[in-house]
Amino acid sequence: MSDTSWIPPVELDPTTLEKAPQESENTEDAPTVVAEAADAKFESFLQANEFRRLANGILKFSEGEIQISNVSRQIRSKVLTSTGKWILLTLLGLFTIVIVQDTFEFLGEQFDTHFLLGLLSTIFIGFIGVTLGIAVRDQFQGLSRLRDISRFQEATRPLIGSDTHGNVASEIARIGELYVGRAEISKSLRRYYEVSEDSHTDGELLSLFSQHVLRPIDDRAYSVVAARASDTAILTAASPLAILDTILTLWRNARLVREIGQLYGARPGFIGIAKLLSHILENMAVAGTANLITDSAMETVGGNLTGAISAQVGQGIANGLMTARIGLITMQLCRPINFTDEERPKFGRVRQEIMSRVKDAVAKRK
Amino acid sequence: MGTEVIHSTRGGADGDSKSPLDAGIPSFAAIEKLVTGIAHQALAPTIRLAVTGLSDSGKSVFITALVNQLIHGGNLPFMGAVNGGRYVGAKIVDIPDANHAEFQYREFLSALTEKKPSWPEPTDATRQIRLALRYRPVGLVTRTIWPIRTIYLDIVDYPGEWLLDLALLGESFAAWSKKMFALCKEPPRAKLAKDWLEFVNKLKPADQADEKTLRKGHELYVKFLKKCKSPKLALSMLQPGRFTQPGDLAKEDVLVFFPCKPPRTKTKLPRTCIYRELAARYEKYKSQVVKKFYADHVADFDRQIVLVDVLTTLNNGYQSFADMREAITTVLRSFSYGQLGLFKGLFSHSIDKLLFAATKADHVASNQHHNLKLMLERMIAESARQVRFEGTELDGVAIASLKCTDTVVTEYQGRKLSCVKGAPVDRDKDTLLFPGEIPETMPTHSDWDTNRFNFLEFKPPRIPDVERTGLPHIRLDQALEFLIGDKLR
Repeated sequence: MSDTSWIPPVELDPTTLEKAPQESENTEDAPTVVAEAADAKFESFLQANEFRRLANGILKFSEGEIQISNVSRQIRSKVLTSTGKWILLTLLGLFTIVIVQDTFEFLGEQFDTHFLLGLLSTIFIGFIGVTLGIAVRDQFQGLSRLRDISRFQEATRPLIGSDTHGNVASEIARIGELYVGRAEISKSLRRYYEVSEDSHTDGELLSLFSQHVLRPIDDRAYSVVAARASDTAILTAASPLAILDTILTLWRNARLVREIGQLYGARPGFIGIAKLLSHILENMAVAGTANLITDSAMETVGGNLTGAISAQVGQGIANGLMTARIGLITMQLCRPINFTDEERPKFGRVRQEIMSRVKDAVAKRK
Repeated sequence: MGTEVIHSTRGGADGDSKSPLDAGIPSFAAIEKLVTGIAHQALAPTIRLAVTGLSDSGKSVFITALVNQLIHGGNLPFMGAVNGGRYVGAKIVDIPDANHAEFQYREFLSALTEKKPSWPEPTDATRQIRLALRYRPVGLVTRTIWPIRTIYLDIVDYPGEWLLDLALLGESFAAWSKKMFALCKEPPRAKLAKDWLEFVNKLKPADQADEKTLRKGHELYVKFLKKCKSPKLALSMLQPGRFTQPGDLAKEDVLVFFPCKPPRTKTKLPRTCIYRELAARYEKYKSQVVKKFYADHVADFDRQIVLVDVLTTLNNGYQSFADMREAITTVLRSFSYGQLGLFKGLFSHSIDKLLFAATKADHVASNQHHNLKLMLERMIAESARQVRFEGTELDGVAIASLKCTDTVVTEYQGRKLSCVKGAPVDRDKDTLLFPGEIPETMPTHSDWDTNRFNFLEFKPPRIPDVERTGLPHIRLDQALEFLIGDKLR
């Protein structure tokens, strides 16, 4: 505020104004700051950001480590242009009509044959319908969770390391809701609320949350990435067919993405995984990862292993490293608060683990 | 001749301004001390932390809180060792030097946390405390040698007033007197010093000195200093420090002197004249009192934190602010800074990390902490440049050793105000106070309105279960990380 318009000091009677402080104390877990202002901001943010796709930045490499730069690129759905969308929707509608009509005809036939047969068929079809419904709902929930996470990333990104107050407490409370019902995280969440105070700045709160809640998740994600990547490496090294390689890798990668998403509370469904994968591939294409992977694979495979292992094993390791990269990018996409430069996933950390695991596996086989 | 006197005293002062260990070729004792020092440093490394601050800046509370936090260990999320799970714990150990009194940590802590909590009395003597900190080292080699490592942290508490005496070491009586008279010309001192100035102006410095006159002048001068120190003005630049806080020297003759103008005579002054007697006592004060304090408590520190009570000066207006800035600059000149060079490091310590802390940050709402820090940086800008030039790492932070208030946002006359909620020292009930906002830019002279700020002192909070929860604080962990974090790796 400018110097000429300062507010004179004033003392208030806390008893008449008990309402505001009480509100903050009622919610047991929430920090003591009254977060009305932040709430309003969040509401307007939600309105402004409806139906956005997962945001992500451009990928760039610096000395073998992945960095997703914080350039927020709002990519609208490029896969489906508007005409394509309409055609697809119409087809979907037609298909639904056909199926519904067929089902009714089928049920009618069954009832005509015998009443019990009809009933049984109805029950089965009903069951299929309900299951399908649940599956669809799960997919949508998974998608909306992913969207939530990218919203959290966007909302907190400018506040990392900032000196402001009162903008982030409610945001963090919302992020915390991603982890409700997970015993191991609820403990660290409680610890976070214990150490966080009303005197902490937004940047400090974010860093506290990262330290206490997200870092244990990061560690677990790392070990998942290492495990899945070395699985891929060993499996593809052992598989005799190239097509089998591809299928195996795809399957392992999809599983890896789902597992990491679940760790961070994203719970992506099938569509979610497909979406994440498409983003990941987009990221990798931007950076021309493939070359780099071969390079690093050659460099690491060089040395003492060259004589001992075949080209196939080399191929396996290359695939493993690719999976690892996918895993690390997924971590960055699924973490509700962006990594700071120090926390950013280090490729070297995973690579060493993969190498040693593959070496062990090869040694055992020989 | 007057000039001669000045010359001789200045010659002595130059030698004084260096650290005692610097002078000349090191004696055998010094070498022995050095060797044992190195051996000791390797086996039981020690960090000596200087907690510096003018009087009333909260040194004792800071030390109490710091010791409590390090012993408790669970309340310091921004300390790297704690955060990484490498911090094992801390314990108070006996100080090796039996000459120093021990810091009354337990008394202070129980005073702060008992049913009717109270702040510690102002410090009147130097006291020391030593902590043994244990941690798990990071490095592969150190980890193999010491799975758990112990490092000692020495902290000294002393009256903040005495710090200003250090500046006397580099000044002759004539130069110091001149400075004091210059200060007394400006408001608000001019009014307060009236009695004493009248007395001094009547005094004939070439006359024969008698104890009664000297005592009279001294008493008037002390009275003037005490008036400057009153909470309403809270001036900081008050020399000599022992006059307002005599400690164990309350009745000693060495304190009986006061600034005096040199006589305007061309003849050689007799040794017993008032002026030369005062100058001699000033020199004695320097060599017997100040030098001892310097050697015992100031000379060898590794790290330093300077506590600055910015808020009180804002309460009291521009003059108080400017006066404190002057005092801090003066004090900092007495410490030696800079990276440890090969030879420099052998013979004397120097401080390689210096932290400025605006204390009592809990007197303002938390959204003001940033501006408080900016205000602090503005106050110390000049000294900071000097210190940085020496290669010392330097930072500023707004802290509260003991957090007494909560920040509460309320609606008042259609505006959202960030208030503090807590019990002021002179009241029993909690109040909700909007103390005014700290401006982002330096207020102009006319803008230093006395009604602009109303920062109140608060009572220590009532904490039901200190053993378990530890004391609440603001950014003490970040201060600690800056000061000793690199030693806990």
